[in-house]
Amino acid sequence: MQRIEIIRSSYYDSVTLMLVAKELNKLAGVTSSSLVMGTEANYNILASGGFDVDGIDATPNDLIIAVMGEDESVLDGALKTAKEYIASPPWKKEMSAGDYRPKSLDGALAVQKDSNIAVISVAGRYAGDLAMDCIGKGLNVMLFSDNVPLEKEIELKRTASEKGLLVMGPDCGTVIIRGKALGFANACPVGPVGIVAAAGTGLQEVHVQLARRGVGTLHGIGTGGRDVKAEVGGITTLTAVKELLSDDEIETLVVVGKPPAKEVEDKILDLVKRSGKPSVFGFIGGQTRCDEPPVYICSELEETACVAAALAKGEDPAMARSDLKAKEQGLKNRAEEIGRRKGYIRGLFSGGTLCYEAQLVLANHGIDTWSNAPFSKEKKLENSLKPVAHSIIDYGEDEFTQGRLHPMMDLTFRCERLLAEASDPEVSVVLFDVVLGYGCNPDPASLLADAVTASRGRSGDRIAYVASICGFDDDPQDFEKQKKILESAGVAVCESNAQASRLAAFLLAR
Amino acid sequence: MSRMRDIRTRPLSVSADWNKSLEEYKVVSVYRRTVNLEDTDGRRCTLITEQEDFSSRTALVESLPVAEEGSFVSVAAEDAKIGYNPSLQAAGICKKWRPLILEWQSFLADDDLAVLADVWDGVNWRPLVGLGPGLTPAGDDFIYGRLAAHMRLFEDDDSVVSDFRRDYRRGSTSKLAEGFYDDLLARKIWKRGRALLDALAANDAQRVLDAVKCLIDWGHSSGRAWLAGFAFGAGEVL
Repeated sequence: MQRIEIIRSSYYDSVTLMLVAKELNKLAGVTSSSLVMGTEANYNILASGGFDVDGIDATPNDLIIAVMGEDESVLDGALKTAKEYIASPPWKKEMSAGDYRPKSLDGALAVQKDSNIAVISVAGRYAGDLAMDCIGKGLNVMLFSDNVPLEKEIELKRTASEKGLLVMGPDCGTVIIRGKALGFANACPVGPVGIVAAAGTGLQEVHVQLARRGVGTLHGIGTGGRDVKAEVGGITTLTAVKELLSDDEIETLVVVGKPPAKEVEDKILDLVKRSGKPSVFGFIGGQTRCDEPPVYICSELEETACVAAALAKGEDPAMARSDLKAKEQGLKNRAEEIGRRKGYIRGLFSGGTLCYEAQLVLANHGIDTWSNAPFSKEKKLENSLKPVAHSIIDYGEDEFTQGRLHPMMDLTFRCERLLAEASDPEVSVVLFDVVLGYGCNPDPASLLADAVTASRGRSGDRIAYVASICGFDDDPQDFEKQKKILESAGVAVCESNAQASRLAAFLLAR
Repeated sequence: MSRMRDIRTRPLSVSADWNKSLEEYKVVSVYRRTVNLEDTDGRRCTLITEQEDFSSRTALVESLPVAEEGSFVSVAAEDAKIGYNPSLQAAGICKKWRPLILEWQSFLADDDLAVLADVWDGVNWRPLVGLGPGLTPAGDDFIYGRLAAHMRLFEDDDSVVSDFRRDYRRGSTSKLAEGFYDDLLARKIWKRGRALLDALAANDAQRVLDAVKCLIDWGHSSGRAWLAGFAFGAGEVL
């Protein structure tokens, strides 16, 4: 049985809600619980989790507490506990036991007057105005928040540009400044590469792939996914490219993301060609262009890193590409060992660019996919919670992160979906990413491995599980340990997202 | 009651205003970290065990004597060094700290200080005397903070301090709290507050943050109430 209660006009941060739900799920007799803001997307997610939401009239400003349990007394107890925890989180004392921190922007600047960057991570509807305040005080901005209106983004970037400042974002998950990570990022070495990326897993994947080839990154500038669209005009991308091209510590420039609007792409290429600095473009899914050394054009993230690493080390990019291509045979062999099969591929991604790349790799192998973030509009899923045929879902998309933690931090929903896919008799391959690094879940592999094991209970050996780990040896989660955990659960772990996607393609018998 | 002169303590250090020639004190109240005493003039004197708790007429001891309220103890301080000078010197507060200081006004929004927020109109301190939670009522802590800000900024009494000095009615609050008013008006300040003032004067950001933390951690609400009062006081002048 279930109970749903609404707390009107109350905002709670996603971390608090996640922690409260975690505590409720430990209570005897509670089978499921969820605390979310009353957005349309969250209604759908509650429904997909088995809650009956008919007649619930919560608005996006209201908190929904939903609990399923064995009987009324369990539900009464759980709701009482939920409200107590929300009012006075038991972990708050521990969290607030540290230093006193200023509560206002001006207070923070009084303490640290030489600050030159502000990281903003508040609800999207407030983030834009706060970012403008920061720009007004001469700060560059890393806008981690998503759900910031496009018009606001344009206004912010134009204002910042006039002042010689950068706005990195919105939805910028990763920035690296002089090797120091802001947001989600990996513990990789510092070196002569500068990366400009839409920001997020595209940047992370290139960052770690470079590190695995012995090449470090000095700066990684996130621009936000919409920056290279015509409306925004690539304001941040162009500024970042100019800065990195003129930085003598940067020997190789990498620009990566989804394909820009043509006029933006032309401007970027023009800047790079005029500078003469070795550069690699990884516009995933872009039009095929030819290399014009020292400018190289790549279509996948690992390939981008591979070529950039070769340039940074003074090696031959052609040879590097060739070595990478040669790994395909190994993947085919591995597919035979695992066992090729008929059926559908379902992708469950936490990284937007990784999701995008997976779709493209599969398309290149003749596998058309549906998605909530498709590279082709015609393949947009009508309902992200009801995948059809081959579907690759980005669980980091805005629809899933309003009032919820990003799936790189909270894997609960993705694990639930993994289990749900096991119940679909037509699914034969499940593909997913595991992102490590600062800010990410401390042990994603264990959670996913448990979900895979539980899924096998439903599907037997019907489903082959394929994953890649976007991580590096020094990441807090311990890359090797995470890999072993997944492999112990029978997951085929590949060296990169592209390789994992390719293996998934090879697993399908035609 | 018989005097129990057998309880004797020798402080490690004392505040600069501790009367070293006096030895006998009556125990007024006993707490986990402090013992409040009364000297022969009826003034509050305190035994403490932590450096941060220094204030006026305070003696730092290694351990508190085991004594009951109403009993007598002997404090032999003739050889004790001076551990703290409670004198409050006027020195100004750099305006750059204003935005940070004003943040502390928001402590009045805390649930346990709502009783102060309900009556504080930004000017009239009178309803706050003796009001609110705490061994020294939070309203008094708030007024201490506000007066401390004004006294830090001006060597002589300004209108806010004069107004208080003129209109405060004795017996409006607890004896302990009243004693602290007397000390403050004699330009004596407790160490936690002094640490904040010194940090602000030194323009040392980390020291400021540490001092604020130390104040927040004091008592249940005393520190926050003091900070809120200080913030209002400083905000009136900076």
